[in-house]
Amino acid sequence: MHEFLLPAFLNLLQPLNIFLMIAGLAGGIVVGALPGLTATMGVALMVPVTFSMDPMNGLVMLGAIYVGAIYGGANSAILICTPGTPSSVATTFDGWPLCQAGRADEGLYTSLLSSSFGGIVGSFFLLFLAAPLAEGALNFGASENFWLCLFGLSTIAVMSADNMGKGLVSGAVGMLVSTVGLDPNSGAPRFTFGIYEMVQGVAVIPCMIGLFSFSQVLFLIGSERQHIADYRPRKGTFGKIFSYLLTKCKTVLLRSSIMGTLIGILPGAGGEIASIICYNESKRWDKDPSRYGKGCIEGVASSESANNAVIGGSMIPMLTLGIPGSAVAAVLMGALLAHGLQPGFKIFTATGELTYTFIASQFAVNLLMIPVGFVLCKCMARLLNLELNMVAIGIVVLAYIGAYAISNSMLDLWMVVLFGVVGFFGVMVGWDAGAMALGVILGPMIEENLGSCLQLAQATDGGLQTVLAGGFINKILIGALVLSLLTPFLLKWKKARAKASEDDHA
Amino acid sequence: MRKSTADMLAGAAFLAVALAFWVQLDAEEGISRIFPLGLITFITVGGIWFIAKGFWRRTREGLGDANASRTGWKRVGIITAASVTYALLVPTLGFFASTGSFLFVTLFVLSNQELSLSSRGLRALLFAVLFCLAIWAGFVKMLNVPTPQGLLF
Repeated sequence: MHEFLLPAFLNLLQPLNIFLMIAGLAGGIVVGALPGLTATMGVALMVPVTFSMDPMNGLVMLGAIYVGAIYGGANSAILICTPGTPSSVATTFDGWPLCQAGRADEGLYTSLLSSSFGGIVGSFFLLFLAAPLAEGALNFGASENFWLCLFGLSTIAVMSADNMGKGLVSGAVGMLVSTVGLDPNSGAPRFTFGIYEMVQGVAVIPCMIGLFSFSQVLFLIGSERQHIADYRPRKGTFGKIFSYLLTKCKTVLLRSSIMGTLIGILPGAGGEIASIICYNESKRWDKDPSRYGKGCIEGVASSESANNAVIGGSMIPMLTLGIPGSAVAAVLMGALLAHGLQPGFKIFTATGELTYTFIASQFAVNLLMIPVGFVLCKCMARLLNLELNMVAIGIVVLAYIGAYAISNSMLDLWMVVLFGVVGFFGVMVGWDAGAMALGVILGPMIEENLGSCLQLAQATDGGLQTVLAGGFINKILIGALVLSLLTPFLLKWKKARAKASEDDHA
Repeated sequence: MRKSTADMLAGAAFLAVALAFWVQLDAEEGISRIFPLGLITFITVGGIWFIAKGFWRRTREGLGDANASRTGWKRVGIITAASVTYALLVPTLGFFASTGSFLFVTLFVLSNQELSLSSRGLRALLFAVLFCLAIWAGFVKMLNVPTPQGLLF
């Protein structure tokens, strides 16, 4: 490895590579910020362009687009409460309240610096720990994935600590919605309500756009305000946020980045799952969890560092085992193959210089993202000065384009309206849109893995119990799940005890 | 909205979702049935729980416990109706014709009523044309994003 590191970093100093990293980042940030245009779409669009390039230049640019797009989603999540990519769903939880409080600049700078930090941690893991971590991920079978998803779902308990019951039932509604379409185990169509197009199921992105974007349009229009938020950028905010993250958020950033990387290694578990889990873990371990959801810097930091750390994590199994950890990693793997790179052990030896240049570019891209993102987010923040009616109506059009672009289906437009109305009225009566979104994302994985476990149980001595509870990883995950579900009660008990002790002293 | 009313409405909505899926559940069998059946049961229990909790809460809360936030229902109704009409028109008129009409009509109706009709119309027209042009240039020309086709354009 060491013999390739110096040439790799020197390759990055070539002017063309620097230009491609900046261009890729800027393009990725814009694509990520536009609702409905995902990182996968951005990278996939540019793969054919790289065929005419030198493999090194092409891969460096694709990596930059990936990083830029995942970060870019935070801009629209904070400014118009519309997650630009599914990975930034959790960013809306605190980013949007920050924006509404006239502190959009704080949210934007937090997301920029946290994304950069998360990306660097992910790249560090990619560079030094790729091989051992990839071997560990291979031990995750159906039962381990089932428990991991349930653990992810159990975070609802923390997410909706004020009303855990409604949060849990909302999560179940989300999972039930995800069962529409083809059954992942038998392949038969279900719950189509007599509409043929429903066989394709409820796509995640139109559903998220409806729940978080269209519903917000209704709230904004109903609020009769003149502007989205009273935005007054203040001098020195960037430095203030930088020092706040460095002093008060270092644990949150480090924990979320490491967890994000580890989740990214697991095939199928992408940035959206990582950001929600890490957001909830930050909330769980915070001394005052009630701050979350009201414009808490730590909330934005945890979500954004996690989803960018996923990038490095998802590339670990892709480069070492040929198993992409996310949809974008799958597209990138296609690009690697097209450029003649074969994932596996040899990628680090036979084509070592090219591979390490690509990995090193991830460090450089995450550093370059700070100036590039700084300039772009300042431009995007000007959205807030527009008349609210114009922004709200514009969001409807962007939501429709974004939803339609996913699979060219008119049904997705209706899904946006349906979930928008559900999100609007649901939130009014106490449904938890975040929990519902988590259910829609995790539902198919839970059902598929449960189905595999049930089928496996028929051929295993000891039945389902052995399949689900056997093995060391399963036991660890079950323990984590139980602990996760008990956390709100433990925290309540701890708080009550502290209060009782204060009263005694008084 | 009073907390008890919110609980009762949330419970009723949970039950409505469970019922809608339960009606279709009969067609499913074997492994396809297990996961949705478990969820429907859970949601039904949750729905009943929240309705009961709402009634219980109603006996204890005062009339002054209502949430005081105001919602401009007329404006919410206008944007919802306009969005539904927009989605209906897209396959017929085509994406850009229906988008232009949606932007113009909705902004015209929602704009500050104190402005004169002509200035509201001019603002809405300018906004609709510029926004459509920006979408055409950005999405269709630069990013090659497909937009729905219709009879017009």
